[in-house]
Amino acid sequence: MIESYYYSSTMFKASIFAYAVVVAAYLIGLFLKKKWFGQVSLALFGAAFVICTAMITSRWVEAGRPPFKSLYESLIFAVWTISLVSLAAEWRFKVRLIGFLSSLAIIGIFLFSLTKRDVEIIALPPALQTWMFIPHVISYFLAYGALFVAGLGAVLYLFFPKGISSHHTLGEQARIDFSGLTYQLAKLGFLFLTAGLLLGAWWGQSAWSNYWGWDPKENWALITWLIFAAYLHFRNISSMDERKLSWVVIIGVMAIMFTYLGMDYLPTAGDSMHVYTKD
Amino acid sequence: MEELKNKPPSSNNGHHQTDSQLLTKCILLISLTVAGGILSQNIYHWVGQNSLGLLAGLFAFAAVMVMYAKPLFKIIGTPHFTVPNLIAIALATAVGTFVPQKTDMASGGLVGLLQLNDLFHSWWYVSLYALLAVGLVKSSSKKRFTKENVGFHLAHLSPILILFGFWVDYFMGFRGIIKLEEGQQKSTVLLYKGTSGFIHDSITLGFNIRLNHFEFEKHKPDYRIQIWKRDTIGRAVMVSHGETDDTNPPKIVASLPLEQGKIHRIYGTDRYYRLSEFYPDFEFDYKYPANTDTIAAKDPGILLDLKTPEGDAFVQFRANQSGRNKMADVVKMGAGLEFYWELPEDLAKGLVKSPVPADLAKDNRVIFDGKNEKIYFLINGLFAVKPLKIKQFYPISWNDSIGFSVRYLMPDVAYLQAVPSSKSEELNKPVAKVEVWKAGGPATVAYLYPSSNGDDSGVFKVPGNTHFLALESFKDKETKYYKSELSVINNKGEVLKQQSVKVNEPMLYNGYRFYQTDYDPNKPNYSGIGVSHEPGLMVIYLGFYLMVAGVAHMFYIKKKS
Ligand code: HEM
Repeated sequence: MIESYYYSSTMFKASIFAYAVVVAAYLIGLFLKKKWFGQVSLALFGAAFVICTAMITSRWVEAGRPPFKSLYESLIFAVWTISLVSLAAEWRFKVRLIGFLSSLAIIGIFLFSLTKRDVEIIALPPALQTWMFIPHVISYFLAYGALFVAGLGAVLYLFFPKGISSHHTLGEQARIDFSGLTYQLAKLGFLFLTAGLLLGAWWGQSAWSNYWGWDPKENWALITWLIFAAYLHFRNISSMDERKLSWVVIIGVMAIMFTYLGMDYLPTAGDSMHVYTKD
Repeated sequence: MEELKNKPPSSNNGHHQTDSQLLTKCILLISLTVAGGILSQNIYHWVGQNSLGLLAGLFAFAAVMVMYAKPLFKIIGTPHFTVPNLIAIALATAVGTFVPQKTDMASGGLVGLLQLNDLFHSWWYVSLYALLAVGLVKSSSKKRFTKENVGFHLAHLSPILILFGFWVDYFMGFRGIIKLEEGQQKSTVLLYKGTSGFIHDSITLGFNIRLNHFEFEKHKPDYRIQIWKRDTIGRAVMVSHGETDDTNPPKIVASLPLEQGKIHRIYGTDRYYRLSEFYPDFEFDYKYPANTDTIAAKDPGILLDLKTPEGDAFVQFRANQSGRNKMADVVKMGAGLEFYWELPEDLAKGLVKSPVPADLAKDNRVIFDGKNEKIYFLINGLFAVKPLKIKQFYPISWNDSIGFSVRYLMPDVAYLQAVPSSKSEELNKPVAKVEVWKAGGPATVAYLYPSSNGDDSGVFKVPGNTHFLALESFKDKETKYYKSELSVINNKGEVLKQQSVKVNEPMLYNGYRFYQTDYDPNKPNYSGIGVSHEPGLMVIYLGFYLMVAGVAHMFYIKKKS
């Protein structure tokens, strides 16, 4: 990992450093409990996001293609979407805990990405030489970002079912309702999940004349989508308590992780054309 | 929202049921349907996979459904039914990713009985979607068609369009392949079964597809200095090309662009390296002092540039080293070449006679006399002596373009300098000159070049370490594109359409889609053209669009009450 870090680009090193600073700032904020410091950590998070954006942009330019091909590139893009959604959620719901947990998770993703680092930029295979995969990937990663943060909200709900007071959140309003936050983000995520799934089928038809091939990765994308669809309908059953709903979201996020990273462990993975190639 | 949220449907006997009772009931109804699907498909298989069997199976399914049709239709379309329905599809799909889908053969045991080997086309799996579709229709019909409900209706009717399109394609569409070699034309499509790659049938199109030309191109090479590492010191064989019998292959650590002069640390070792020169088309440029008067004839040699029927080459002869002073006519110039500083006795005596003794002229020979700067030609019984001039071209045969010139005549080859250089800017024979050093220590020079035959030539092993440096390109192993030029030809031989087909750029003709799907690295003029026919595609696409629009409307456009 250290060796991989050593050969990483300066941009990558700067990003990982910036997010480490963000984590530290949130950590201090948790103890300091000052509203102005909440603004500081949010600003630092924003700055880290800008650096991450610059990293992705420079790789896009260097590669001459969108940097969404390899697992490594997609992990970095996941960092970007998680940051974007967290920033938006923090802005909207004034909840610092989300920023703290997201930036912590982002550090974890960065460390994991080091073990998957591409030694050089890979050329796009013919099937990916189309603009069609760009909206597909962007939709999916926005969905993953939103649903990941929704999952954080669901976990927080389990810990703080009554919400937390504004004293802890450093926000303006009296209480933060985590189930509401989870629901709003799950809706956003579901919309992009739907778009990503359908764009994927559309692209599959264009590249392989096969919009649906019962491929393991496609199947798990469908499973993920069904879980979140079930979550949305669960809410219409009156006696369903929020704890159970939170668990559905957490299971959904686990399904996302499995769809994204777990395909190699399936006995049917050999048939899949979507598994991220590991060098 | 309120019409659903607070009033769970009342049961047959009048009193209200709790949510969990209702859910249990729905799970039971869904399980019954799954059981009915399994039972009836097995009946279909037992009776025989023909129309009679189909009828028997469908009848059995209907019989099962009739038993609980009333409670089913009462509750279907409510969230209590929808949630377990969606979860059931999710679980079933998950099972299908753990059990290998072998659609091309029958399976026995439980797997066969439950149709788990072709789960996605099994009756019970499909029936879960049928339940969903009924629920969608019912929930949509129950909801008023108002402006703010547009999203709801779009989101809930669009899945029906998609499922309908799937269904149409499954029964009326096909996917197959035409295997063509350049110049061939065929009208027969080999059909795949379902979504598997297994060919089970064929159909004939009403026209022919001809492959005029097939080509594929690899990416341009991108040579880089690579740092590799292995767990133990040993052979430094690279596995960039995938195939190796090495159980513990080395791992690539870094692949750095060719930046001249930039210093890199070889992480994990105490060495540094830098690229001092890159030669795209490496050759040694030989240099010899122009004035040789002061050079004693210690180790004489000659450097010749040859023009042979097989191309240009150069060769060096050494007078004092037997075996390296002559060359039989392996390059088919029409004569063997020999170099002497001082002619041996038989030649010295024979070559001044006229005619030259026959035993000396048995074979065609070109003899260089270094000291006297003469060249003797003994060719096809003819004899000639010419003064040896540097850089002058001497033809050998009747063909003026075949022969040689002398680059250097060297009294002592010790003064010959081989200077690395590049013949051209083409990447024909890439070589990188690197310097490797320890901090404060002297630099070692190494020449890196790609190892073509899998041995460890061309790499630099860091002394006392498991790291090594290599010059390699990965990029040119990857395919840039495959392209098939196709013609549609009718039975009269007329060309109806002509188009190049690439991955992502299919040819559409008559409702069929022709796309690049297969190639064979060992058969460069073969191309597999996929053929598909999806009559339901536009309905599916419409469903896609409406679903996204509907969900977006429900979430963000509908006015909150
Ligand atoms: C049998 C299948 C289904 C039934 C019976 C059903 C029924 C319902 C009902 C009754 C609602 C509540 C409507 C309201 O609150 O105004 C709802 C909400 C919703 N349904 Fe479905 N639905 C089904 C399948 C689907 C599917 C496949 C999708 C995916 C496109 C979907 C997407 C949604 C969405 C996005 C909502 C809004 C949820 C929310 O706002 O929280 N539904 N559905």
